[in-house]
Amino acid sequence: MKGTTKRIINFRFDRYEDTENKLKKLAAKGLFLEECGSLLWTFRKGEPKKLKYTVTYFSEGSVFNPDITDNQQTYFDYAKAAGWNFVTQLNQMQIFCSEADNPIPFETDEKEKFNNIKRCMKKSFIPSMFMIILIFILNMFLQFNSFQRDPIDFLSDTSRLFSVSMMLVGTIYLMYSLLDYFAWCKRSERSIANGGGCAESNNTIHKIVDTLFMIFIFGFAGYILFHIAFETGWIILLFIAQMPILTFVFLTSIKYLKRKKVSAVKNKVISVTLLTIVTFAYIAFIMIFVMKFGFNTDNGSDYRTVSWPVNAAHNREYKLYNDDIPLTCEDLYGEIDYDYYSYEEKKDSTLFLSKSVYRQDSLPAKNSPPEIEYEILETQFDFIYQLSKEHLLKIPEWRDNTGFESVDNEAFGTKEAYQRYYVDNPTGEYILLFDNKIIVLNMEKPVTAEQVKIIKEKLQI
Amino acid sequence: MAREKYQTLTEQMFYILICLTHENCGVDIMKRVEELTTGRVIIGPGTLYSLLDNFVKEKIIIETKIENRKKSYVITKLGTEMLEKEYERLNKLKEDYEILVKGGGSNEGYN
Repeated sequence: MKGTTKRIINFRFDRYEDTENKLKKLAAKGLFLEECGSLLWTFRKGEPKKLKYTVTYFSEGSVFNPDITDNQQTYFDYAKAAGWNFVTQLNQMQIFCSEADNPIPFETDEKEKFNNIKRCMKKSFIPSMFMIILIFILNMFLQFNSFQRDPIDFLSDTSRLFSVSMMLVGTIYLMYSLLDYFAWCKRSERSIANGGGCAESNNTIHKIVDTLFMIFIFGFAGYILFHIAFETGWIILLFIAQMPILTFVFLTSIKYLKRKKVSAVKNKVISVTLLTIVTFAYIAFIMIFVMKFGFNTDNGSDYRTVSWPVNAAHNREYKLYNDDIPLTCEDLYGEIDYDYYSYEEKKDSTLFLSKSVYRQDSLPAKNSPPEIEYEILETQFDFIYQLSKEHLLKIPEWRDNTGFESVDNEAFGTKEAYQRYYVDNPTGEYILLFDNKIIVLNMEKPVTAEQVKIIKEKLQI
Repeated sequence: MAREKYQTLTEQMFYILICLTHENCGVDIMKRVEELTTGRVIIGPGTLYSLLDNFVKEKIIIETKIENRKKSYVITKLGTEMLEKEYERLNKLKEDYEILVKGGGSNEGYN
């Protein structure tokens, strides 16, 4: 029965008793703890044995320490004298085991034990929690900014909604953990003042919260994989892989430097610097990738590439799509003899709204044929409808020579309709508001009655 | 801070400090206390470490030497004063007990 096995152990500092019992049970089954990780713990297989475990905290403990420190060695010596053998450590957490039936308890003063836990948490758990929460909140603030800049774009983008909801749930979970810790401190303080020990953690509530959190994370991950498989490009995988890749780099760096016996401070500085550099490099890599290949990797639509002169000296590559779009320039203006039209369709759909953008573009030239672009928004909720309407009708303050004016509803059969004017001249830009649908029409010139008829027929208004 | 925190010493603190009226190392303290009290007071290794660490920080004891990784300590003047005070307090408890319970004295004035 040789070899090792790995198990997932969901560990939290205030649930040390659960962990101690679990390790004891596993030892009775012949699985002995060898190393603990943040999630996966390694066990050595052997003959079942009756062992007792204790999980304690040592404030000097750190993942960056290349070796056991002198003070830690003293700590181990005391433990050894009391019959406790050191097994392994993770950060400040130290695990010991004893073969004795009734070993001397590791901690014999609950107040000291509590103060020690508090001291350790102040050193690593609380600052790191605050850091992560801060990063998440900062990130969400940036996302909120981009939402304010263009709510339609934001709400129709699955990947952005995905990352925001992940961060939101993460923040709530971390805040819950933090509050839970403070509540535990309060309970323990009260209990110790009354002559009792550190408070027991409330298992049922923890289990419920953890399960809900896991369901959300896995549910969402599943949804995203489904989405990748059927709708968006696989570039989103790069975003999802970001966290695991960065964590791997960080941990590998710590491990490597530890093996090289680099001091804890140096290890910390080098590893954190490396993490920062790799984070930026990764983001840059994604950006370059997106710029080169586009975000949606073309939705599988077919296109041909042409090289077209933009000025006397330079040519540029243009992609000419051949998507099926419901309304074309040919529908509106009759047959056009032109070989370089690009017909492009782009659909995005989320829980909140679906956005379809259609465009027919010609290549830049003096006498290029007419172009058309239109966007159909279908909103699921009224407040999103209002939000979209407001956003579409908003004109930046610095643009004082243009504005929207109301159009007769009868023309398009709308609830409300607006046309854009530029210095008192009507343009071909319309915003048509229906019950659950908004159409933004962008043509080169104002529409004629005949064209309105065609548009209504083709767009099934 | 030190005085407030250690106004009354716990049994474990008390025994550690009396062991340190002579130079002693941590492991020996653990054993001595157990012997002295015939197992009534036991100091766990975690608690021993935290207490010694705190006592050094509060200048109640000082580290004297490190031999083969073994750290030895001895009580300071401040520590001796604290121990003295605790001894007086315990004596007072004992006296009061004797007056009221053993001496069969009346409870007058103690209501």
